[in-house]
Amino acid sequence: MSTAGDATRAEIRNGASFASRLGFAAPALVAGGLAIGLTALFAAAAGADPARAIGSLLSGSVGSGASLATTLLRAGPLLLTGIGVMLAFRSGVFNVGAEGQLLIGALAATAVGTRLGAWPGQVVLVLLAGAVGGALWAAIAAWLRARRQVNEVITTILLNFVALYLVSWAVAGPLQESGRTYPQSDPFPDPAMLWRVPPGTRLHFGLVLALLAAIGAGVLLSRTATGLRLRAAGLNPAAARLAGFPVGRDLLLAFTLSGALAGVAGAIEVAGVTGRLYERISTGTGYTAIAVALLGGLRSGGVLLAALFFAALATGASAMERSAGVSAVLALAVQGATILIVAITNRMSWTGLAASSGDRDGT
Amino acid sequence: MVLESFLAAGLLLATPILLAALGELLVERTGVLNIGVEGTMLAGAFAAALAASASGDAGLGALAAVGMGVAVAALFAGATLFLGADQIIAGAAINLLALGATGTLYRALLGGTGAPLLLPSLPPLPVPLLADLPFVGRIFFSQNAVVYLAIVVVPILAALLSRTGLGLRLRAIGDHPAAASSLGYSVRAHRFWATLVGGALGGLGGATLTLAATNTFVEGITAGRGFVALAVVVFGRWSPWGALAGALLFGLASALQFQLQAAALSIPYQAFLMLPYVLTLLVLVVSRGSASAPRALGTRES
Amino acid sequence: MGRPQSSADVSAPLLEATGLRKRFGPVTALEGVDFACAAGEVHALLGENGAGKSTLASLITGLVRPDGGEMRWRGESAVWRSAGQARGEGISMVHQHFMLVPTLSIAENVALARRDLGLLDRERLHAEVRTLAAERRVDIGDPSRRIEDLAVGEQQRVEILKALVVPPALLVLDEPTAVLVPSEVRDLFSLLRSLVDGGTAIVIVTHKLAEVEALADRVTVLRRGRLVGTGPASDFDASALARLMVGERTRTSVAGGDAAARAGAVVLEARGLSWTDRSGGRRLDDVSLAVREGEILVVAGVEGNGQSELAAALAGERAEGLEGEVKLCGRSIASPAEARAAGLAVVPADRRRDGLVSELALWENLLLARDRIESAAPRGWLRPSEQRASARASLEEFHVRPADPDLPAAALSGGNQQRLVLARELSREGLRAVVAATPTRGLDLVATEGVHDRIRGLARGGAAVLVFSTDLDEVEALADRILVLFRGRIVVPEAARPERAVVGRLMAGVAA
Repeated sequence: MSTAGDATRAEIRNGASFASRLGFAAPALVAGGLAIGLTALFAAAAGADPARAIGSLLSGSVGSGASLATTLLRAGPLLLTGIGVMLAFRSGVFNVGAEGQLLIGALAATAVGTRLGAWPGQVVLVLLAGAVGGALWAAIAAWLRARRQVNEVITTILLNFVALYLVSWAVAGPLQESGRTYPQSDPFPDPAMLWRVPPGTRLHFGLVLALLAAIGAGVLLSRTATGLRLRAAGLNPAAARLAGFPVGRDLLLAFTLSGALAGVAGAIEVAGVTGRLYERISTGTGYTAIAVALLGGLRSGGVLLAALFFAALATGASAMERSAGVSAVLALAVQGATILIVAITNRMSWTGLAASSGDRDGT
Repeated sequence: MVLESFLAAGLLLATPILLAALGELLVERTGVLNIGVEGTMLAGAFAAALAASASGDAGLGALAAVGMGVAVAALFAGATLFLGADQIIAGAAINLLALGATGTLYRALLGGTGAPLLLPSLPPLPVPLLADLPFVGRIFFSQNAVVYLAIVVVPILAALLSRTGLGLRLRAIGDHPAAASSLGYSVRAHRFWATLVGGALGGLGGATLTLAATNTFVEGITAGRGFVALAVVVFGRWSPWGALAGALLFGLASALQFQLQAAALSIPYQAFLMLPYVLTLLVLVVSRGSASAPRALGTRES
Repeated sequence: MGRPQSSADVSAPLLEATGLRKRFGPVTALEGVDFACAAGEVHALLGENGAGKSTLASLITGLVRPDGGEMRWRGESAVWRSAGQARGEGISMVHQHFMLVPTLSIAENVALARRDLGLLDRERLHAEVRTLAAERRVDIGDPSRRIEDLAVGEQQRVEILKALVVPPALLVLDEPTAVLVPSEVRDLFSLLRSLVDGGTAIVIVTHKLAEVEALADRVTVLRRGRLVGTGPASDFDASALARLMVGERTRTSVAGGDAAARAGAVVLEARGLSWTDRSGGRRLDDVSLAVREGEILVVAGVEGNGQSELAAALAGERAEGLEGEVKLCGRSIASPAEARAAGLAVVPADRRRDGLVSELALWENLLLARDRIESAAPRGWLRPSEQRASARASLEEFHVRPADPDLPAAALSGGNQQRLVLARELSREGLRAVVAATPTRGLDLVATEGVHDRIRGLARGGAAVLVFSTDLDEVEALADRILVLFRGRIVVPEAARPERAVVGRLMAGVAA
């Protein structure tokens, strides 16, 4: 009977379904339309004027230069963490710890940014610290899975909470501002902040980095021997091991790379947007990243669109709260409902997504 | 006295996680991985708050939570079992949906601005005679009805799974769905009903947070307890008794954290907040392995 | 339920199917097939692998629904919505891949088949299962044992007992002898005979001609999804059946055994391999062997006697608790990666599980060996267009159909998946040794010959070849030297190439 299922799946892969003919953009496009409809519905249910809500949602997310900038700034960390999650999932690593890895990345970046003086080029080390912090945090779970066979879903979830309290402690302890008034770090000195790209805007070099990471991850997976090894190990570890592939080392690689990307996301948030670390530095970015990666079909292009979509929705929702009196957390409900509907209509499956090599529909 | 109240508090704090973990355990034994426990609990907690504040009756609140848990589980089951959505993706979506929907509705319906909401609480129901026993009486027999229920579900679920024909079917479906279906059992129907029962327990677990542990509702009140319940299932190796042990460990660690904070030592309070998570992590490291996972966990119907 | 068919009218078929059609995606599995069977007779369903036998069996038993055609059961039109419904009507099946829940005990699996509800009293259940087994004359031993701890033959008996919980009117067995030693086959046949005498209709799916002769009253032969012959078994002799099965080609028998002259230094060596599984079963017991340059060593044995464990160990896997040593070209091997680096090719027994990644494209699957991917991407960069082109050539060479490098491996039939693995493993450069487990399983006779030729060619080229085989024909066709694996131990026959009958007895554990 498996033959029947496999054949169907092969048909889907070969373009038999409408969604797959649209390629990676389909889920994000469908999601965009759905989100608008759902927002109107939910807003009406919560007692607000749906037309007004939609209007402010759109104008608040992409309607002006300022709102567009806010959307892009939000999209940066989402894209980095989403790409990290994509890398992990495609490699058979169920890393749901992007949140913790992001927090530790932000923590490490802040330590370098605020505790080591100020010197030219410091920002490079800040970013590096973020990457290393995230990677090391992920490495704990990777080690536990490789050496102690402990399921990484569980460990990464637990480590998320530990990271949250570590940050909470750091901003009230070793990294607290010199004035010792609020639980937050000192502001980053200028050389520790990311370059403005383009200059004069709020946008920063971290967004360029995120874009590069998305392209790089796509190329890595579909165009390199390492990528093929990772995908093979993700889909069938037994076959990969028998092929003589270094499955254990690849697992560590995928896990730490994924963590490093989340760590950089934390670093660009503190060194590009907030300029300092505080307890609530992440509003669940690392959790949303899972949804971003899945909605993006575990493809770089799809993840990019999904990150922009989620960012726009969150930004627009804040505007909607101000002008239409609908709570901004509505955005989360819209995100959830959208993912659910797309999951049903596309029959997206994590393993199915991880399956196709993806090099024919771009990366 | 300190020890007694510490243990009693530990049991109370373990209850929401225990209920959710038992529900998830049942679901997972049939091969379904519902990571939407967090959302289910949250929706349950909210429904409990809404019903309890409207009626002034905590019992009605608990009932509403059960209904809401079933509804959320039905949404999950409908999407995954009948409409072909992936379990992991649907679970993640439900978590987001619940967080957003409860947040929005909370602000719209329960104010959410002014004074914190004060909810009626589930009253303690001392068991006659037993409650007067020294030490154990206060810990085990002066709790509220939901705590008793949670504890009673443990042996019932254990017996159901290992000593009944129905349990046999559920386990067969979780380990080898094709074999079960070749004998004419409907994999889908069994998974559907198990998911609904799991949702009921998850919703009730959420109600315990609002009606017993805190007597209020705030946005995101579950604060990751649904995920901890998932961890507890693995920790307990898919056995109800194991889940009890895991939930108690977490509950006691949480209670310990309150005690130590109250003792006002010079240790930062975050260290105590971390304690339950770190402890669970350490125990996982020591106990290792997940060989007892249902073989068909997370796969689609075959 | 439970209607023993002792008084059935033999002239009217119990089950009659006409014009059955079934497609799986683009593959037509059955086209216009008629089939009938009557109470009290054994109907053999014969064909090569991939001929559609299992599909027909699945249609009869309700596991799969037909795309076209009609079925009549006891004279009335019948459409099975599920296997459960067919079972309720008295149609049971013994699957080739057992439908047993590995984590449950024998008794629990039987209880599932009995549709027990309510409380289970273990003691009573065990006693009842023992009684049932005695009544049905199926020897299952201690019913409290877990399925995954049983040998394959024992598992099959549990599967049969499950099918007989309610005495069925029609019992379908899919390749029931594939995993049995000759003495177990005899026991199975006498059990089937007694069922037939009691009025049960039996359909036995097989590709072994000897079984048809020993058991069948009627025969139906399928080839490539079509009916090519049917009638009383007495109307066909073995060579006629063979021609029907394979078309006009017949098998040419080639004997090995010319390697004594060219055998050189020892290339692949195992010393004192022992492995005890977690439940304490000794799967390998002090296995030592050596394969020389240019030699084909065949390890004969019935499945489940340690072949997969030994094959894994030779491929470099170090299972927990494995003792002993594997050496390749004099170097000790501690991982599959080291084995690959030292020039070992591996054809695993379970290709779907260990040999390929179903979701990846064919060209990607052809790179799933350390040395292949390293030579294809020396600096780490894959060049997909080049890889597709060379993949296409390789697929053509090994007759993989369809030879489209972009198809996922899952889209191939079982036999073609096997060819895909062979294409990867047997055409490598720098190959020093080959470990091939049942390399021709799932292949038709012509393809089997092709693979045998290639294996002989590799040996002539100096490779040390070790083949695991369950098939005496294959043992004879390939072996320069024969060892037998029985219950985890190596049995060394007195002669390097003993007679067929001797090998058969050793495989069954009977002292030669």
